[in-house]
Amino acid sequence: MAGILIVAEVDAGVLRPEYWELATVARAVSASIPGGVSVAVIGADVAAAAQQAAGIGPDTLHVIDDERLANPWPEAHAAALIQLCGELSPQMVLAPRSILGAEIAARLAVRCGWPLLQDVVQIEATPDGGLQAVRPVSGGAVAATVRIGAGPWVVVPRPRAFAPAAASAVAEITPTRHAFAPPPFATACGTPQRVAVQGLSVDRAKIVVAGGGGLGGPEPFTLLREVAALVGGAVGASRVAVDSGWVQSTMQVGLTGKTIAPDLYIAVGISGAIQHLVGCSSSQVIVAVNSDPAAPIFGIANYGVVGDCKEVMTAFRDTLATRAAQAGRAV
Amino acid sequence: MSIELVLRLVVLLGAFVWAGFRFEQLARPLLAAPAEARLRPFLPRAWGVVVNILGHARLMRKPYSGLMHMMMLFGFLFLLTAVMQVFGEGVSPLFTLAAIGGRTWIALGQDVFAVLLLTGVAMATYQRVVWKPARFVGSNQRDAAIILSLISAVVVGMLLQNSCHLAAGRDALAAWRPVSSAIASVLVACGVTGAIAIAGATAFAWMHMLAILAFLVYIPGSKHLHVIVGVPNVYFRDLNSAGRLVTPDLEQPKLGLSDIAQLGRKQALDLYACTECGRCQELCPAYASGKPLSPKLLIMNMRDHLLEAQGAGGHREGAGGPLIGGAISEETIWSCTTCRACMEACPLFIEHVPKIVDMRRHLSMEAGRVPDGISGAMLSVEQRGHPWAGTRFSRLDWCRDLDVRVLAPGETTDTLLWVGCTAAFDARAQKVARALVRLLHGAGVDFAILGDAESCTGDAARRTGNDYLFQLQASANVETLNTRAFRRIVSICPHCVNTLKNEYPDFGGSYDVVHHSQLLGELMGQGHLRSMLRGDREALAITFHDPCYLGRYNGEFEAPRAVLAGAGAAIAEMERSHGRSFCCGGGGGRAFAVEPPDQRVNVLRATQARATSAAVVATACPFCLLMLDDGCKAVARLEGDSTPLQQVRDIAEILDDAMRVADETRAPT
Amino acid sequence: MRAVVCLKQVIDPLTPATSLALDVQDMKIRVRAAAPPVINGFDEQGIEAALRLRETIRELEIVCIAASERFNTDVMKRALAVGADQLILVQDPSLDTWNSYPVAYALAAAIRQIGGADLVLCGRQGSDWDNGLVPYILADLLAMPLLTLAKRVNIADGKRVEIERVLADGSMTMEAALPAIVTVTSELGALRMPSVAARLTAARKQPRQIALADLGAGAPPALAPEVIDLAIPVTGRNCTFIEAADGPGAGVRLAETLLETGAVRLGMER
Ligand SMILES: Cc1cc2nc3c(=O)[nH]c(=O)nc-3n(C[C@H](O)[C@H](O)[C@H](O)COP(=O)(O)OP(=O)(O)OC[C@H]3O[C@@H](n4cnc5c(N)ncnc54)[C@H](O)[C@@H]3O)c2cc1C
Ligand code: SF4
Ligand code: SF4
Repeated sequence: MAGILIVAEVDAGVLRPEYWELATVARAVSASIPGGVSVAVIGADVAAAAQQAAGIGPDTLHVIDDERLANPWPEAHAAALIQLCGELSPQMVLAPRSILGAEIAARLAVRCGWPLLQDVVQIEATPDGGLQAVRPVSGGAVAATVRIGAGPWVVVPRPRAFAPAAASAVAEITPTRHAFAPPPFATACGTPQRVAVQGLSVDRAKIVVAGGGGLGGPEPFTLLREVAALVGGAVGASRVAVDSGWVQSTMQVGLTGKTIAPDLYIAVGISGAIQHLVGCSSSQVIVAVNSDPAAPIFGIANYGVVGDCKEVMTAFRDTLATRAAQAGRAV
Repeated sequence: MSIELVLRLVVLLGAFVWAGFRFEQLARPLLAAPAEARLRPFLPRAWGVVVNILGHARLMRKPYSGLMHMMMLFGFLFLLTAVMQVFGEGVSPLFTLAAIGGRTWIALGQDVFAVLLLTGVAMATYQRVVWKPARFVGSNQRDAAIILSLISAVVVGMLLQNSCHLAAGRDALAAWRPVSSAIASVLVACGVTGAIAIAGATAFAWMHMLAILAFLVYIPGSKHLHVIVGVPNVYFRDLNSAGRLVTPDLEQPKLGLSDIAQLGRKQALDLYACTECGRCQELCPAYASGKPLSPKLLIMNMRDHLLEAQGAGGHREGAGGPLIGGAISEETIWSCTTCRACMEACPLFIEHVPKIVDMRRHLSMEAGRVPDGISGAMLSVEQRGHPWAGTRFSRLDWCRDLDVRVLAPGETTDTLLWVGCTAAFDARAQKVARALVRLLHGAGVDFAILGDAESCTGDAARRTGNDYLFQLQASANVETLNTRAFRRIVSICPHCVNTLKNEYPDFGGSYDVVHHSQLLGELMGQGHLRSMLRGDREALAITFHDPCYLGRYNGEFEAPRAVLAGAGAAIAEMERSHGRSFCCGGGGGRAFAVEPPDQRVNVLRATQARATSAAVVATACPFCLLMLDDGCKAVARLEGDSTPLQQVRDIAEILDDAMRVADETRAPT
Repeated sequence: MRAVVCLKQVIDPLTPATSLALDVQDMKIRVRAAAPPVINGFDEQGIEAALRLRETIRELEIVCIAASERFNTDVMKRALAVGADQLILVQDPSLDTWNSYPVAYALAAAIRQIGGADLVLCGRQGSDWDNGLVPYILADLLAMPLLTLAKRVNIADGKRVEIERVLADGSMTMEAALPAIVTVTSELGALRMPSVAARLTAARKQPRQIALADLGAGAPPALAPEVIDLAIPVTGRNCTFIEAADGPGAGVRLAETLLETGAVRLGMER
């Protein structure tokens, strides 16, 4: 019987960054959950990703590598995970709260009849062999502490709520390969149409410059992209900007977008509705640029600028550009 | 019977039949339209006709045009005697007005008024050709030119006809026709005498008659129709208080105006009455901001559409293509701030706002097509009883640290403070409510609020056409109010005041409602607050923005100014103030609409405020406060000021500042 | 053809924090003032998806079903006003707002009782407890294929449902044979505004109330965690406002401040 099974999601050949956070959670509770830490790598052509995943030094590494797992097809990925769990009988399954990860976690929990702990920001094992966790509810307005008895459990931690574990270059471990033997599929999927994201994607960047309804249209986003390029960050957006069709939905931050915790979050023309704050309030430093001094975003910002976004950000960009050019000359 | 007489009869008859046919075409939609109860009361209605038509009350607000119109109107009226003569003589050569002075004072009057009329025509021509005020943009200039030419032809024809008679020596009236005599002497000097003069008299008589008939036939398709429908249109004007829109029956099969055939009779008459003078367009904030709405063009386009529909199949629904999206664009309909500047200006009392709201009713209650910001705010009213979705405050947060009593059902107070949603949920407007509470405490007024039991009055819902929601809100609020006892209601928001006072009686709630400017004015008048004023105040230069729903809608212009004066302010008026005040852009639900950056009404108003160089822009409405605050900041940006030159403040805040008592609830400014 | 839309009645997600009252006795989140609940926004979009389907499939019957411990009927009747043919409310004290299993069991039993559905539409998650588990349990109970996160839903030749599924960086088409369950996401677009005529008709219609006991829903497994505490988190940040003469000046000052504090480093490795 395995103790903790971490789902290492591979997205387009790349190991998703949440994996390192899941490892932190696993390490924190592994003392109370006997059976060691295992990793499940599911996908097609995942050898490189599996190699990388081994970096946390798991006790065992399981791989299902199959053509049918090439696309983020929930039913197939869930079948693979359910198959592995059948073979390994883990006590706790840790899955990332990504679109695919959250889904296969839910499918696993329901199929196996295991309790699911969604969106966990704190977790600990209780002396009686159960778990206690904290999770935000009501769009983050309330934090609920929940408790559950003996496992197995499926746990989906909130992205960025836990520090990523460092890869400790330990001895090579040989992955256990499992042949994929799914039941007949009831759904079918096409090939993903991926929108080329300009620059970094918001959930990977250390600095995010996000625009909202205050930008008034798609054009000022060019300015934000230039700033992002200068500071090595990504461009994000509020739902108003996305719903207005100014930018792609992949850039949306918030309850129904991405939950991010960059080192620096610059919110430009974003009012700071609670559903938006949910996605960004754990950022290290928050800067708000808004023409309305009473905008709620200032309530959670470290630095605030009351002013017109175009004016402020144009000068901001120009100053950074000048400094960068000076720095370039100095080198 | 001479051939000429037969010819005259034939022409007369032909013209009458033709004109009759044209009038009948116009009358048809009116007769088919549902009547509105606008016949009584006779006296005030008739007095309005006297004051506004004979007295030129509204027209004289533009002295040049007013004077010009007066000369033309009275000239026209007097020359009706000449018209009578023409028609009378057309039927029988023996016809004469001699019995009532046709050979004495009528003759004199005809000469004098002919000159006045021609002077009027000359002034009108100068105005249209040389001066060209912007209010005529979009008016039918050809129509105007034809009308002026026809008038000239009538008058000149008459004068020359009479002059020729005199020149021929067939008229002994020289003493009573000074102008004609003068012309006759010129004619005689030029050799026009005897038979030539007689022939000339006949020719000019024809000219005179033909011009009159042409006028008669032309009028039905022209803006000059107002000479006929002007009087009834003013007579049938809306006598209700300005702020009361008609409550529609929501069970009727069609809600709102989507087809021109649905127009009520007076509403249709309005379309015929418009003179295209553009007085409305000149004052319209939506038009000034570059939006596609001009009240004048709205009326003209509706009129043209009505006539087209009439031509395309009579007065039945669907004829002549769609009204909304065809004759009038949806964007036009949503551009209106319901500021009422147009209606106050219109010399013919044409009702623009009810038509716009009626079309919005269709869009909102039938088609479900409402601009984003507005629909979101209205959904919020429906879901949470206030339009400010996303506020971080609950209804009582603004007064948690103040001593404010919440009135429970069955309890009694003297003055019920109706806070309004904006002052309750917006951080900036909350300061106004707080200032007022301090003043009421200072004056020792016994007051209380409804707290969570207060819900949006529904003003914006009604003015954006969602009368369903308005009626729900009104019924619920009336129920709440009727379970509590109070002497009167005071509100910070003129929109609330207007709705509570003028529209809730339809729902069984009749209250004594005052605006906080009126209450504060009254308290100062009684000396309650005066004694507490600080002595060391510097006179502040303040300009006051009249909120539309306080001023134009409810006639209160002086109370807020009295409060400011009492607080020691020196008031510098803006170019547009009092009844001609320029909307902040926030009325009619526009406070929730997305204003394109280059079409912001509030920026225009802030620019006007800036021109006064006053340090403070005072107002007395939370919407105005927010809109002008934003506008002043935008103007400051445009002008390159580091900070807005002007602070925007409510009169209550200004008065509160002038008070002696220091108070820790007063936020640092 | 019948589409069932599952609805959840939730606390208004825009309720300001000052209006929330935490009942740590019953472990319930309550709203202080008389603020009415709303239909979960994603579920409303499920109704919208069904209404769009009916624009082409005229005979589509739309039945909305909700299960809760109590209802604000006026709020729920919005479903009828926008055009649902039927609204079924399953009410029972055991239908806690945050435990997905009893709710899903009740919904599944109600769907069975009305004779099944060709398509079941759910919102992707409830805006209150964010579990997003109900559609999965339903799929299991009704043995239907599940397609999730649709921003577009289409029915092909009355037999198959095709959706466009939202991905983190794009989208992907998916399909399944009917009957099936589909969850929708906000990209689908907002629920339309009802006409007043429809509202008035809806006001006269009554939702069908079904007692849970009459459904034979079966006992749900006790799989939900127990809530042992509720708290309102504090976001303790103190905003330093950048003072400057004008907008551009503030932009310059902001850049300098962020460079000084090291929040922004130029020429750093990405
Ligand atoms: C269940 C649920 C889920 C949601 N999920 C999300 C989500 O994931 N992400 C999300 O973002 N939202 C989400 N929302 C929507 C959220 O409630 C807000 O509507 C949204 O975040 C508002 O976006 P915004 O601040 O960009 O736009 P707005 O509310 O339009 O605010 C624009 C801001 O810009 C300012 N501004 C205007 N002009 C200028 C200018 N010239 N210069 C500078 N500032 C200016 C204004 O003062 C204002 O503060 C969700 C809502 C619900 C109910
Ligand atoms: S009410 Fe005001 S905004 Fe509307 S048409 Fe008249 S003048 Fe223009
Ligand atoms: S509506 Fe009235 S003010 Fe406007 S152009 Fe016509 S007559 Fe003049």
